[in-house]
Amino acid sequence: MMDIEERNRLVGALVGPFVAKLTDKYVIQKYEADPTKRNYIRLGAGVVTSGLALLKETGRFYGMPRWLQYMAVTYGAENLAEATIGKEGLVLAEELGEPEAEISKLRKIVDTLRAENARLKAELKQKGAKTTASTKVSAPPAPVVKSAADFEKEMGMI
Amino acid sequence: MAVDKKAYIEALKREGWTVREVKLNHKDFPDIVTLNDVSAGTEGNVIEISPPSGSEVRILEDARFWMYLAGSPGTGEIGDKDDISIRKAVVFGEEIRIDSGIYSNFKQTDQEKIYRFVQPIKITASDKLLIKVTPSKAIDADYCKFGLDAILLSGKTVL
Repeated sequence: MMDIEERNRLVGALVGPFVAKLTDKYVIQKYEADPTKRNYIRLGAGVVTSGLALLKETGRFYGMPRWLQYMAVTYGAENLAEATIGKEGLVLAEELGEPEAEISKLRKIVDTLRAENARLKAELKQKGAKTTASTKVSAPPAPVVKSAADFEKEMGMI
Repeated sequence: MAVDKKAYIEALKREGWTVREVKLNHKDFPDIVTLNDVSAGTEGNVIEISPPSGSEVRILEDARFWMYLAGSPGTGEIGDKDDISIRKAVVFGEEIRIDSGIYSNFKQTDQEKIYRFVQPIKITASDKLLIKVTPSKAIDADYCKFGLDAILLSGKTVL
């Protein structure tokens, strides 16, 4: 189980200014004119944000829908939000027939994490704990000069 | 054996390579990745990865690999993973079977449909990495998708 700071860092990433920024940029500015897509896009912002945070923290794609996994691998975490919420993500989601059940499941994940974040923030505030990351400093590793071929041999590259 | 990726990349740079960590796919790297049609019941190279002259590709352990193989719309995904194998073709040599069967090539974790390479692979301009499949239904390259974590080396200068 993660410690409280770790969990807070994870869930904090889900509901921070990023969602607001995405919502503003993509939902309000781009899709306000098309009410049929607003809910989907809004959910997309949450899913992408949670997906990115989980991906960053764990390197895994917990519960991410298939089309989103594809977008993540293809575009990389940095460009995923834009690509997914942009036209291409929508087209691909429709093309692959993303099931409603999957969307509902993901919505639940995002809601749960938001609630968890609120709870953790309150808990930290009560304890007066620092919310910033630990400032532990470890000694730098001793420099070792190896050639690329040395590395390749070491990892058994064929 | 896992190595320090950052140190490995630094070593490549020291040796004159321009190094880019990329999400290799057929759309952004058409000169490296080729998707092919494959007829039902016959073995074919559905995905070929071969860098142009002057470039090389590295795939490290745990590199993520995603593919969606399909025929025409409505026929669905080709899902028989046992029929997929990964081979490396080298010039003037026989194809090297990276490992037998997709389950041996990749670790797959519950709740994700992303595969991860177990075997690090070096692909020079004279090599080809081949994803071979014997599909139960015909595969149409136009409906397939593919993505892979890779390191792209180019523009090596003499130091």
